Amino acid sequence: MAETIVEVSGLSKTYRAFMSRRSHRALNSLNIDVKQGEVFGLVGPNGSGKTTTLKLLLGLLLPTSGRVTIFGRNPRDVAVKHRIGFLPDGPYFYDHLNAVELLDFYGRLFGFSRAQRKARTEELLELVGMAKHRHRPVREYSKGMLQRVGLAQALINDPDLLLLDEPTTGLDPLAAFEIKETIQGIKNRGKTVFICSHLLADVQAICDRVAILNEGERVRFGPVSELLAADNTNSLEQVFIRAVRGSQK
Amino acid sequence: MSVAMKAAPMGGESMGWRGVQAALSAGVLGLAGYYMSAGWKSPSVPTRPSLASMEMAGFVVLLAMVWFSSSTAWIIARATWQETIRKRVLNVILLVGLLLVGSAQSFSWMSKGEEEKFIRDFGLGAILLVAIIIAIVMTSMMIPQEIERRTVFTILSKPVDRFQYIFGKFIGTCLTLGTNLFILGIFFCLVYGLKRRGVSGVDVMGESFKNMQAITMIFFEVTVVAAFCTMVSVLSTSVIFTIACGFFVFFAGQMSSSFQHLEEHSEAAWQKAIQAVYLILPRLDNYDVREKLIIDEPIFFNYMWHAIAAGLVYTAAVLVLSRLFFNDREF
Repeated sequence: MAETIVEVSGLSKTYRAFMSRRSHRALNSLNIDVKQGEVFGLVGPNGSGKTTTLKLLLGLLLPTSGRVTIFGRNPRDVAVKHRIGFLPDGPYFYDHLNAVELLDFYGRLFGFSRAQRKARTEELLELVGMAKHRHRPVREYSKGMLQRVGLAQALINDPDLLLLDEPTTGLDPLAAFEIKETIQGIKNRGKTVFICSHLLADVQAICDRVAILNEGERVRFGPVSELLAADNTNSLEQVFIRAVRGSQK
Repeated sequence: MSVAMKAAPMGGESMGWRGVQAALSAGVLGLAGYYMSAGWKSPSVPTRPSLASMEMAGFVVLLAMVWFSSSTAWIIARATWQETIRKRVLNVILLVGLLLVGSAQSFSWMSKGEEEKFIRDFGLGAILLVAIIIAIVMTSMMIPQEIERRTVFTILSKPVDRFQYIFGKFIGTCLTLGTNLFILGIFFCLVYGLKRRGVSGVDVMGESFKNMQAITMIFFEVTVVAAFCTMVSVLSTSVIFTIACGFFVFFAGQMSSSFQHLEEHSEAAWQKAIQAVYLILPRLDNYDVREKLIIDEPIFFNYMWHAIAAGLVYTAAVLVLSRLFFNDREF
């Protein structure tokens, strides 16, 4: 049986405004688990709690209640960070650096030697198709180029768990296809991938299991094939619409 | 995109960094040893026991900063320095500073002695003003900007402890302040040297050394305010509020000795409150050596070290508090 990489149990998050009684519950008693070697998709409409979940997995937010573990440890543990890679939605980097300097900076944070950083940078720039733009400053990059270099920085440590927030949003069809191909390749190497997206066709194409969120609640959870069979459809979009509308009634 | 990647090497604290740490620690210990052997003491400056304990505390803090720092903090410091020295707004402030210092050359209607005093007072005052503006503006914007742009997400998702991040950002600020002050200092010494060149009985090198001592004190003064602003920027979401706090601490710190007088001459009910403000404020007036320079009094190293050590202790306390606040900060 595959090892559980990510375990989320009873996870809730409530945002409270400073000096105010107003609060907003972004996530309500979420339970999910992600197994080694699978591509897991977290989908939901805008404001459903996807990015909140991802930030809780990264330790950027603290849970109001419930528990999150990654590799059996607290997500804030530096040892966990050695084994994960993260691509944020609409990534922004130090824009005075070029792609080579940027990857070198992230490689340094992992304590890699100069030779290791150089080899890794070349390999990743080739992988994400940015080799010919290696000396252009990041501030001159298009959204697609930023996404590609963002993926490269997420892969700098060859992570066991890759967390991607909207990896294909805003990309042209070719770039989106290439990123999906890369994710598939990463999965084939036994790595685990966690994707937050609202592009259901992409999720259906690459994910083994999904959780559908709506207003902070988990409304569907399981292997893509089982969810499709249960709703008697071949489109995850149909499952999604029924699940979201059903939960709103 | 093919995905035939090789496994990435395992990282960790490099042996090279351990070597740098050991060398820096040896340097601090050597400095402390030399200091204790009375090499810097001057008979004309009385040394009270409290003075000695603060001086020792400064060495301990310096040693702790070296020992608890990591290559990670220095990587962040380097990136911060590289980013901030390119900031146009800071370059403009530096340029204004150079123009102010350079303009001191044009005060030629005064008598020879007056002119020299004025150039020193005006030049060092301009340098302090420029350095404090750079320190406050830079530190107030630094962390909020990284949060707003979400650069912090990719950094904190790497093996970076939150203290390493704060400490790295602060050291990066100090490097930028040091760079700017070095440029301003060299330019000031040049302007001052040109004015004093050829005047009989004037040791231009000796006077330049004294000027650099004053600029060193300015550096440590502004780093204390920078540390304070770093702490406020971690707590507050408003850059304007952080800037206002920074200027308040700077001006109140400049007048910290006045608080002591105020405490002595105020009613009992107010004394506790004034005492509390006096305790919290950094003693920034200790760094102001312009008066000593103007009346041609020497600036003894033990006087300098006492003020610097107190600043280091204050900075360390503020950075530890920043870490505590930043630990619960959500993004």
